[in-house]
Amino acid sequence: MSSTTQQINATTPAGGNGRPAVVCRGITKHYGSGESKVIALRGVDLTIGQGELMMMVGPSGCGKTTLISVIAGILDRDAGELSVFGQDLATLSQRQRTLWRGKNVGFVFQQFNLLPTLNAAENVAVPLMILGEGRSSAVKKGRDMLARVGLGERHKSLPSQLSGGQQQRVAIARALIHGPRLIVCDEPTSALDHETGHVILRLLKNVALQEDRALVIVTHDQRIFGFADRIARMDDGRVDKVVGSAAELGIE
Amino acid sequence: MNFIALKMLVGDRAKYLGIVFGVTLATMLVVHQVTIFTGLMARTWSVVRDLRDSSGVELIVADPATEFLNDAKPMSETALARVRSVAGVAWAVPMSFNSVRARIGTGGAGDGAVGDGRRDRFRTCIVVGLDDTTLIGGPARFVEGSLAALRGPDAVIIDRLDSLQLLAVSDGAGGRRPPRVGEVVEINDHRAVVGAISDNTRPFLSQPIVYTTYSNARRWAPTERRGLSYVLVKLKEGAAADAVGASLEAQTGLAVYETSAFGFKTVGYFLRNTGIPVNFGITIILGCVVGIAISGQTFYLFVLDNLKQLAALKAMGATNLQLLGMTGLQAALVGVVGYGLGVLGALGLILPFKGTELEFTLYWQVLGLAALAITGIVALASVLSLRRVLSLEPAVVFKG
Repeated sequence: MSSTTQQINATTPAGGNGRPAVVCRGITKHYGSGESKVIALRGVDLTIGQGELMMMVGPSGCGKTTLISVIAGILDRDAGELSVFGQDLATLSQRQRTLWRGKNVGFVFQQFNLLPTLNAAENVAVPLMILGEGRSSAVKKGRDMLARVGLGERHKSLPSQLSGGQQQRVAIARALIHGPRLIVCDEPTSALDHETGHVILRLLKNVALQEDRALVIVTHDQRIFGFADRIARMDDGRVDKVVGSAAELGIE
Repeated sequence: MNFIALKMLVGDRAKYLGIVFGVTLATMLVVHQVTIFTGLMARTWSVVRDLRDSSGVELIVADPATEFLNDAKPMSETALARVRSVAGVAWAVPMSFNSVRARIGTGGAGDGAVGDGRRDRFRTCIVVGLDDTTLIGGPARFVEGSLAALRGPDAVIIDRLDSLQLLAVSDGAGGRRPPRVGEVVEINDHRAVVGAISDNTRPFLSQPIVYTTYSNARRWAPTERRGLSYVLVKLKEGAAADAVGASLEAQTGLAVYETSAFGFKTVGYFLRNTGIPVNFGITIILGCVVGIAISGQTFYLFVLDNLKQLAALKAMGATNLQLLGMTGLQAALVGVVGYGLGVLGALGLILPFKGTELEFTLYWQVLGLAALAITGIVALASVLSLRRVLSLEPAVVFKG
C-alpha cells in the first residue's frame, strides 16, 4: 500500500504507557465468493496503544465493524498480521480464540444485548460465569461492579426496568468485570440521548481505560469524538487517516 | 452457564409453557393410550392370569385348533388320563370353558327364588368349570366368601363388578342391586346359587365369568359329546417345562403351552385379528407427532428469539460446547417437566376409574416407554435448534 493512497498519521499511539495493544499490518477480509464476493478490508494498517481510547469512524459499510470483529478474534482475517497484546490470533484454533476472547476482551454492544430474563447483577456476572466462576460468587462481583458504574441500588432490576443509559451502564460493567485488556464498543451511544451519551463516555474513560488496557470505539456519533485520544477514519476497507482530534478531520 | 440457560428458559414464560404443554400432551396421550392398549390386551388372558396366580398351574393342555382362550375346542375326557400318565406331571385337572345363557331374576320377595320371568334379564355368561375335588383354577381374590363355597350344591362364584352391572338384579323399587351370596340365579334353565363374590382380573369380552365345578358346568353347558376345554398341569419338582411339554405333545397329540405363553398366544390372536393395535398405534403415533410439532416448533422459536443473546454469549467467549450444553439442558428440563405433568395428567384419567369396569393398570414399562418417546420428541425438537446455535456467527451482534 503506497503512502499516496493511505494518509496515516505517523505519530505513536497516544496515552497509556506507549506500548502497542493492537498492531494491524495489511489486514484483509472478504465475505462471500464469486460474484457475491465483498471485500470488507483492503489492507488495514493500524496501531492502538495501551491506555488509549481509539475511535473508528467512517461511512456505513466502510469496514469498521469488520475490523473490530477481526481485532477481537470474532472473525478470521484473510491475510495480514495481527497482534493483540502480543498474541498472534492466527496461531490459535477457533476454540482457543474463543477462550482467549472470553478472558481478554470486553464488549459493549450497540443494542446492549443484555439477557432480558437476568437481573442487572446477573447480566454483569455473565462473563465470569462463562469463564467457569460459580454463580453466587460471580453475581456478588457483579453487584460490586454495578456500584462502580453508579447502579449499585439497581442490581435486582431487570433490563426492561432500566432506562437506555442505565442498560448501557450495565453493559459496560459486564464488559469490565472479568478485567479484560481490550474493550471493544460498537456504537455505544447511538441509542442514547446527548447527555446520556456523554455520561457513558465519561464512565468508559474513567472506569474502563487503564494504562495496560485499550479501548476501541466504533461510532458515527460526532458528539463524542472529543473523548478520543485518536480517531481513525476508515473508508472503503482501509484506514485512510488517523488523527489526534475531530478538528483534524474537519469536524467541529 | 446452567443458571443462565435455566433463567433464559423459564423467564420467557409464554414460550416455556408452550413447549412444556406440547411435551405434556404427548406424554399424556402416549401413557394413556398405551395403558388402555396394554390393559385391553392383558384382559384377553385375564382368566389364565388368575388361575396362574391362584394355583401355580404351569402348563395348559388344549386342542391344537384352539387359537385363544375363549376359543376352547372341546377335547375327549380321556385326554385328562393321558396327560396324567406322562412322566413329569405332578397333577393334572380338567377345566371347562363354555358360553351359556344365564337368567338374572328380579329377586322376588327376598327368599332367593327365581323371579317371575316378566322382568327377568338374560345374559350370556362364560361358565368356567373347575375340578370338583381340587377346585384348581379358580379366582385369586375374593370380596365375600371363598373358593370353598363351590363345594355347596349348584354353587357359583360371580365377580364383584359383574354383580354390580351385568348380573345385577332388580331391587323391586325400579333400581338394580348385585345378587347376594345365597341368592338363586338360573343358568341355562338350571338352578344355581351364588356361593361367593370374587374380584377377578377384568376380562376382555363383556360377558360375565361364572365359576362353578366341572360337573356343574358339564351339566349346565349345551349338550356336547366332549366337554373338556383345557387340562391344567403342575410339574413335578425338578421337571423341565419344555421337556415335559414336548412329551405331552408327543404322547397325547394335543397342544401344550406354558401358562403365560398361552396368555400371550391369546394376546397375539387379538393383535393379529382385530383393529386394536392399528387404531391404538395410530393414536399413539399421532400423539407423538403432535408433541413433536408443538414442542419442536415452540422450542425452535424460543431459540430463534434468543439467537442475538446466544451470539452475544458467543462473542463474550462462550464456546459451542457451552452453548450446546445450555440448549441441551433447556430441552432436558422441558422434557422432564412435561413428562412429569403428562404422567400426572394420564393418572388423572386412569385413577378415577380404579375399581370400576373401566379400570386399567399402569405398568412401569409403559412409563419407561413414554419416557423414551418423550426423549425422542425432545431430542428431535432440539436438533434443529442446536444446528442454528452451532452455525451462529457471533459477529451478528454487531448488526443493529
